[in-house]
Amino acid sequence: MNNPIIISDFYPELLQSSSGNAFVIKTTNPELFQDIYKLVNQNNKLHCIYFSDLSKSLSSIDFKPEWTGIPISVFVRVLGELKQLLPKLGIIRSLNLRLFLPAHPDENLTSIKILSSLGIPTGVFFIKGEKINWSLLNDLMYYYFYTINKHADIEPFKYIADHYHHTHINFNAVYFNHPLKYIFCNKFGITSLTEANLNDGKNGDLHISELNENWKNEKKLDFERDLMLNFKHLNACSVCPGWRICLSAFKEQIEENPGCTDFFTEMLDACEFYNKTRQNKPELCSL
Amino acid sequence: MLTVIFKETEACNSNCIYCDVVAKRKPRTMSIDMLEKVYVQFAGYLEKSEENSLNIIWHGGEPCMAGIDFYKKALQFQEKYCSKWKNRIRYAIQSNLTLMDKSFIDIFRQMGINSIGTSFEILPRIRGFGKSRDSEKYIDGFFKGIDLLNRNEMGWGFIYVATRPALQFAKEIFYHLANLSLGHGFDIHPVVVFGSPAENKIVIKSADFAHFLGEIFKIWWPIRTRYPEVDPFRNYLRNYENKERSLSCGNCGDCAYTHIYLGPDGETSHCGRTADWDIIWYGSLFENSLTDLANHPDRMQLDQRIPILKNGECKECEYWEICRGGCPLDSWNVYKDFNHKTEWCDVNRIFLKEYFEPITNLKPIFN
Repeated sequence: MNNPIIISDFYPELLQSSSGNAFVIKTTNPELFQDIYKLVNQNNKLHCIYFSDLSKSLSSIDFKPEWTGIPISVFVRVLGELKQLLPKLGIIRSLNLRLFLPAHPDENLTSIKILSSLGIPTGVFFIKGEKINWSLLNDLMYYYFYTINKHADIEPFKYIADHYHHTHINFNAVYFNHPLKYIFCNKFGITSLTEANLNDGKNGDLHISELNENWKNEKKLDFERDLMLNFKHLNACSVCPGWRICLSAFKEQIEENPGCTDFFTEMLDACEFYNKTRQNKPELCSL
Repeated sequence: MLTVIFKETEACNSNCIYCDVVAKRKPRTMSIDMLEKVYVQFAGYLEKSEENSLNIIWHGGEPCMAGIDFYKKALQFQEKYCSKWKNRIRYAIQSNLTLMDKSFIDIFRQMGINSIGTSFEILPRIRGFGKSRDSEKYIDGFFKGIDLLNRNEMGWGFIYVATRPALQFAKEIFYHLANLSLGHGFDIHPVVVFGSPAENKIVIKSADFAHFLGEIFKIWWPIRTRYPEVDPFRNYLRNYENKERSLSCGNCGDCAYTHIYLGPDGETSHCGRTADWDIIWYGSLFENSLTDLANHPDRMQLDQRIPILKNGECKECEYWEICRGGCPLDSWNVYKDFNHKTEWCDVNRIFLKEYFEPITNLKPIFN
């Protein structure tokens, strides 16, 4: 299946009328997880459930064993009470989860490190307008790439390292926001490149039944054309050594909070170290 | 192979600060009648010997200013007069891309061109449209051109011409170009201005360019696997590793019989620079055969330069194998005589000695 993955709210009728597509289903209601899993997989394939509720903490979520096997990405505001979360560790580890916290407040970066060290796949995400503590984020990135203690994956670091092959890379894919991989769709099956356009009714794109490889190629070219707009002047993003793995994702705050340049520059080195280490890992003799 | 620098038009929609064509002449464009006569001459040259082949570079001015019909006719005349030998004709093109459209891309592809050479400048008022040298509009047009090439699967690569304002931005310019090129290569050249007028704000000295390259090389070397196709560094490296002896036309030392310039009225010169600078003229293509022009006796003076330099100014120079005294025109620019080494000699001496060799630990031992 080479078509883009479709992101939509949970529309049972749309899912029943579609076949052979991969879906990311957005919901803020955990009670629907099992229904979503069953219905999507009837004629299509569930890529992931995208659960996002920024009023919630991780510790407040009632993780259930019935969710076993369902791929779920959880986006919440903070970890909450560790005391409350620890008894749920067994269940959390048994589920197919990736737990995302925003980079702000700073304590979230510590929480992510804790979760990762406990073997739980995690990720950091960025909320527009919220200041990022680049130094602490750098510590987390160093922890992920350089520490020799075993720990679970942290996104978007893993994605960048896995997909970086000396050309540009759009790490927003881990947040289901990548025009070459994902497309948003309303209940009528009309697609749009961005969620904002979908909400504003600025669609005009294809119906999901019309998506094909040509569409993907066109979007790739549109994406590359838009990237070029960063190069009309010398500016902090255009001359950044780390631009190829950031693609100006933080250009709106780079003037007042320029730490992203050092962060992504160091991350390029880290990615190369990580991939080199992975390639050169000696094979131990079997015991 | 004879490389024909085909200046089908001197017209250009841009007003680049360092361009000799824009500065010196009222623009002329070759007529279709003349174009037909040119292909008759090409046929004569190709027929003469199986050894003869042509590498035609549409150069301009801006080649698109000649109009799409010019190139359609060129293909028709090729078919009419050179069809037996068309496998011995190759084409290339240099364009600023700002006038490129699909019809041009289609016709250039029919000529077997699969990549277009261009130039890019990010500093303001160096390349641009009109008297004010509007670089913003120029860059918009350039990016549209790149987008069009990408959409039509036509390759591209660009050169960056370093001018005096660029010298203070070595690091910034390198990353800007490397990020923009997204996997395509680029090549850094110094600006070359005929006569080096002291008042010219863009002129740079060879030592300045050497240090400019050096500053970029310090950045590039540790991360060269990220940006493998950056020249002249890649080229120097290949030569130092003796993987190949690949030299630019200015350093090949044997350009005497390899190039010919063809102007809009059929006038011929040695190359683009000799014509732009009004230095060497071999005569009209319509009064002489291409074979005769390709073997014009005045070419001998360029051929004789190599032994003169090898036994003279460049004697025992450790960089002889990769420099060959540089472009004869650089010598002319200073001495009004071809038999001196290039005025850009310092680029090799300073860049290689002070930056390249200490950083790479490679020695100038050339097979």
